[in-house]
Amino acid sequence: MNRERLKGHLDLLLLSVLTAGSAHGYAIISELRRRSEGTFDLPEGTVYPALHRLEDAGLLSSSWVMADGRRRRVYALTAPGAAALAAEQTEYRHFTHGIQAVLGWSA
Amino acid sequence: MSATDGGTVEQYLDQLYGRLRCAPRDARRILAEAEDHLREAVTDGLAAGLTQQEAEEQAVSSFGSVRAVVRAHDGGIWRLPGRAVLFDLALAGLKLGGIGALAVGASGLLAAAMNLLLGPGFVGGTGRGVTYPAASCRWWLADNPGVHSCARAAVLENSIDAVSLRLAVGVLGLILLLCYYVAPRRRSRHVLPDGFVPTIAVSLFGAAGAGLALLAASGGPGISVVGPGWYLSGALVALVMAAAFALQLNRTLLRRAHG
Repeated sequence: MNRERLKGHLDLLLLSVLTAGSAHGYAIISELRRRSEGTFDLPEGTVYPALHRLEDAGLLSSSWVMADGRRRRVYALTAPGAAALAAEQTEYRHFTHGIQAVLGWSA
Repeated sequence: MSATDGGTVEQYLDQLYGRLRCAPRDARRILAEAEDHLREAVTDGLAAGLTQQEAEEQAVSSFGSVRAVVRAHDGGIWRLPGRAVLFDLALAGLKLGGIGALAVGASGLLAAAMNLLLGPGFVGGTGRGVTYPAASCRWWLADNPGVHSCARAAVLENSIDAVSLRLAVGVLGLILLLCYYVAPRRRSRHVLPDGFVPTIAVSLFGAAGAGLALLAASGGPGISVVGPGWYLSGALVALVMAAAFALQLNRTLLRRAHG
């Protein structure tokens, strides 16, 4: 998939992955790849700035934990993050509905 | 994983550290997350049957090139609100302005020392061949009651101005630096690269020092109106400041190169 197109939806996807519970970067990215069945395959290191930006915006929180003898940053969805995700999902649903209607794919 | 010091992951982290342009705390976080990610990816690769080397290469490849990762983080910096950039530029301007004005004040002290040791003509000029406006002469002669020649009064006035006016600028520099130190610097997002202020300072002080030294050595324009000490006092201070900032810049670059 076109990477630039994916970047436009990355925030929505990251917030969505974290609804299952808090996770560290590697787990989030692995889950993103697993759920998309390999379609969303960004360079993994470029996902972290998006996580940092979502945290700066208050949509995620993060904290250090120790795992396997090294520090690990674990991210969690905040209440504003959950609200933003719900709003984004609604907007995206309307958007895709409109696209499908134009393309003639609506049921 | 048990990456050796020269392993692919270690080399990648070294390169990433060398290329990151952000606040130290942000850099440590980015590196810690990258290392945790890469080590976990290597562990998964080993579990899938890859050799250590293959697992490290695959982990690094999937993580993305250092350039792409740095660009992604830089993109984060430049998406910051413009006021964060303006705030840091204003802080740098306060610091540079304060130090520059303080240097002018220091050159005033040097001019005072030259006046004492070499006489007022070294800084104030000879006054020979200069025609002064009558109104200025009256003013200078009134300021120097024991002097009867306009040229001599002008020389004394110049030599004193070189000290008093520059010291006044120096006091302004102290005020600017005071503002810099009381400014809420914790609000800074460190968007300017390390070595930004020293680089600007070396350039400005170096250019000023070289220019003033040339004027002092060549008897530049107005040399009869003011003496060589007028320029030399400024040149010496500017060159010393340029050397000091060059050392600071060198330390910054070495620290960055060696981690």
